[in-house]
Amino acid sequence: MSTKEITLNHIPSPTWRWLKMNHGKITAFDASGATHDYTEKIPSSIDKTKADKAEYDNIKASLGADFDEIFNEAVTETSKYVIKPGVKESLPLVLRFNYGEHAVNANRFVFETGENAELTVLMDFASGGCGDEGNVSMAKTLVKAGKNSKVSIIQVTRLGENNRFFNDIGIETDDNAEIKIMNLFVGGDVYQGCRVTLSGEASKVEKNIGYFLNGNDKLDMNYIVDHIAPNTECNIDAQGVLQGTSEKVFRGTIDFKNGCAGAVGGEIENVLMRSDDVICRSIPVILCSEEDVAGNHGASIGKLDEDLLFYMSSRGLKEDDIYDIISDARLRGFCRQIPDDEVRRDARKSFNGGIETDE
Amino acid sequence: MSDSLLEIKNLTVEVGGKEILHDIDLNLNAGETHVLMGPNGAGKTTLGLTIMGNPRYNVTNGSIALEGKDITDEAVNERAKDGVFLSFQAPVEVPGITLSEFLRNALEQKTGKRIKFWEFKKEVEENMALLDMDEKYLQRDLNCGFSGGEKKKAEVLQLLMLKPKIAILDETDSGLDVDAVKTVSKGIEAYRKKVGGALLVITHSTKILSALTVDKTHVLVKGSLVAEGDASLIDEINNNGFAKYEN
Amino acid sequence: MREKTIVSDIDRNIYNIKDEEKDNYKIEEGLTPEIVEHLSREKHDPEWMKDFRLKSLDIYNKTEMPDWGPSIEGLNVDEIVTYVRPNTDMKADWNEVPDDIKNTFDRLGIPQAEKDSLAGVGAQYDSEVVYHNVRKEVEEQGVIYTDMESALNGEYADMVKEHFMKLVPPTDHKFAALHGAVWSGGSFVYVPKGVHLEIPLQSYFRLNAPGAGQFEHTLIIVEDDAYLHFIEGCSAPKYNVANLHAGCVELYVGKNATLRYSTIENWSKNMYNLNTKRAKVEEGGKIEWVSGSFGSHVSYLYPMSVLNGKGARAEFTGVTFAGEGQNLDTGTKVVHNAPDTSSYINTRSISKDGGISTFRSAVVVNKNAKNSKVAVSCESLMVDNISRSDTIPAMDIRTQYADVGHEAKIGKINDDEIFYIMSRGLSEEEAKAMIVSGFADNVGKELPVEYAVEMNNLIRLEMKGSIG
Repeated sequence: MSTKEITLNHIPSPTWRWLKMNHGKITAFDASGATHDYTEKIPSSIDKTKADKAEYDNIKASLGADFDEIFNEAVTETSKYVIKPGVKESLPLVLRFNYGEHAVNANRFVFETGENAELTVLMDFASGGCGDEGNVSMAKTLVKAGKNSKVSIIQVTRLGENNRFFNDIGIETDDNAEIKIMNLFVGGDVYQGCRVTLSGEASKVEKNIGYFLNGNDKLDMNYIVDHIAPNTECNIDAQGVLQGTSEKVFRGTIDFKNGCAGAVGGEIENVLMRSDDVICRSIPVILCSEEDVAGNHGASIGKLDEDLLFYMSSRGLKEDDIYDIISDARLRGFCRQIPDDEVRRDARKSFNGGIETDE
Repeated sequence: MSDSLLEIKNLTVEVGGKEILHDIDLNLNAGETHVLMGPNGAGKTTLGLTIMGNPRYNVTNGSIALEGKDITDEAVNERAKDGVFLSFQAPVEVPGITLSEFLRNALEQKTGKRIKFWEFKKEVEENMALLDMDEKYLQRDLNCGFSGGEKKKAEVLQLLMLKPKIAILDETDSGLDVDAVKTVSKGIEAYRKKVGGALLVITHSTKILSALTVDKTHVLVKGSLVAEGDASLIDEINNNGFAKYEN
Repeated sequence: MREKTIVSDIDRNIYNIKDEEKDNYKIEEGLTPEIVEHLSREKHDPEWMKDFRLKSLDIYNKTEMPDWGPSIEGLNVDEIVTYVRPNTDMKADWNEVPDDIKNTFDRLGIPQAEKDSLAGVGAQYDSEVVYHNVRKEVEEQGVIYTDMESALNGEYADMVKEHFMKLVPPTDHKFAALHGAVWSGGSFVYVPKGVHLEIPLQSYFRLNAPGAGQFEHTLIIVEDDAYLHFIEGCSAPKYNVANLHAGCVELYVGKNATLRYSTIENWSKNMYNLNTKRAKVEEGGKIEWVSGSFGSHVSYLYPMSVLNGKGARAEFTGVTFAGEGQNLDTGTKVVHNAPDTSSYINTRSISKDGGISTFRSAVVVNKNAKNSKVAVSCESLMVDNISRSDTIPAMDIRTQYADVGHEAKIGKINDDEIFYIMSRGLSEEEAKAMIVSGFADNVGKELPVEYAVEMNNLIRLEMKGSIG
């Protein structure tokens, strides 16, 4: 068992090394003996089987090959959930993970939607409490979205600072497929990878990311969208609040490959910094080798919009309170999108101070 | 000692390096309704924003006093607590926070006490009925996706709930159809009756004024006050426009 | 306006590439300490400079090549050595100057003598005479404008020693180290307290070392409350037989002083332009970078601003045009190290005919930079389907009280605009040229008129093809 250092979450287009943003770095660890527990709520229209390596091996994700080596050691079986063509399932497939009791946890899933099908997957990664040593968990979600299908992947990551979590997502689309991803992070020491390969013509992806970090939380993100086919669309929206001594790196890459004529890509990040001891690193990238595209990205870090501040002050609210209100509002906005009552309730309870509303 | 509520003396305001308002004198007493008229670009909204304390507007000379207290340098939220209210011409959208939550937060700030939910509910529903506003708006994110008319009504709802000493209404009637203007006027009249506060109505058309009893009219052209009169001045301007003041 | 006087007696003999017999060093040896020492002697360096060069060489040998950015495989550094050896004339034969360069000269209407100079063929074209006139004028205001070698040994020796390569140390990267070892030529400018220099100083006047300029070092010190506008380069292409430009520019801006540093770079398309420019700004001071990058085969160019004093400010306005065979990696870096500092970055880039343009930036706001404001805006235009445009901006923010805004856009030329212009009688080519020219106006309007006009001419030439 080597204790060598490995890198992960590599940005496709590296830049100056001194910025230390090109990738994350961890010490390799022993993942053998990992447990794979989770609970599931499967709507009747969804079939569960096992997946062969060949079925998912070529779907690209973004944590990287070095990490995959460790991961493959930990997980030998992959569960596959399939929704048949034409079936539009309104109930979400709910997978719940409770990390804390075991040292190492790992899971790999494949979700497949047939033509014209609709599927929503909710994954809740929580920590029940863990020893001083903390634990390491890994999850990899691979999706094959069929023609005209709609897939929503909602992941709630609510872990303590001692929980290290590696979460990778890899998605491939067929023509006209629509992907919605929601990633909500509250706490933890998380490495999140996500790559969507828009290989289907006119396929779309929307990524909504919310992160609320406090204490010593760390979040290292690598979101990539590869526009391969024509008329593809993507929109990445990240909203964050950093408190305490938390740190985050947001790498967001939109890659317009030659041949994706008519593609549209947008990326936006809004970060509120609530303490002077946080570290906010962002690198929103657009790569382009196709003339007929429209790409844009924006980032707003630090202060709230002036007009918003003025409006709320004019109603008597103090600046600090306004920041609190907006931060809470953002978090609640994400919570509202959790499609399962139980999970939503538990999530709300676990967030700092709990947030009760009359909803 | 007058019971002057709002006293503006020699007010000169600059924004982005350019002087917009020159030497403005204006006086409002409690319970009075004043109208500020002027052509587009005269600086009417600037005056409203300056009284509210928008940091983009620099007061380079003069002062603003509320009930004798100098508020020229006071922070925006302090002015609100002291009793100044501005109904915005184009209210900002605030996603993630509902109209209901926002109102409650503002009320708690003002009174310094927790709001009793049932009392609040009763009062806000009453006011919404008066304004012909669907209760559903309470649960909608503040101003998000509201039509122009609904945004204006939401502003007047806030006026009724916060009960300020002085309400500055900036083009509250613009973009509204006849019925909406009537409704908004009802709200403004209710505010006047219940609170007895002062009103400074900024407008360049006069639809909204038909329902109000105007005590004084001021005319602002190119950043200076060029005329002052009673309600009859409004008719004069409706008939002749601002031409005679514009040279 | 520039005066042009032509030195008539040019003996063509001395402009031939130097004879191999006089060559005491073999090319295979590469850059050795002996060569560096000899160079130092020839230049009459003070002792400390010789040591500095040797230390830099050491650092150069130990430093890795960058592992990001355009490939510089085509660069043969050892061959460059040929041109820093003593007794090298560094002049080229007019016959060997590439046709595309000659064509551009013709189109831009440049007189022959000027062409010679730009092509590294002519020697003392105009520069000495005009240079002396300018120098006298500014000296009256107490401004010092001289070449680096003289500055090293004259009255300002101590000032130079105090500042030389302190802002860009040899350890910064491999080519900064190379520069430290073999630098040659360049300008030293000193503007005393409170002096406002109305006329811009132009480095174009200072083509002293013939065919040189590839390792030139520019050091500018602007004292408190002073003002200077310095213009480097010009839009006419500069051809150099040695295909590496590893220059270094160090700018010190004092309290409440302003320095405007404008550059139009149009190195010929065989060049590797690995230039390092950095400014340090004190309290209330301001650095304004205006940068137009048109030439080179490969460019690594990121003027950097270090805001060290309260209220210091940096503005960067740039345009990069990458055409056929070009891979231009340009951008800017800003470090906020004090409260109330601000930086405004506005860049445009154009990619055409298979050119690759990359906008690369770094904005760092440290914990002690409370109430800092940053606004970055970059726009990229793709003119066709075989080119490439990448935007790689990085931000590292460590204080709660900062206001950082960033936006970037990429797209193609608007069809409606083309149609509209064509409906007024212009060809599609002309329409596109007009649009791209207009797109570059963020830089155009910051330059003195004659430069802006030249830049626009250059853009139109590039857009209408038939160059290279």
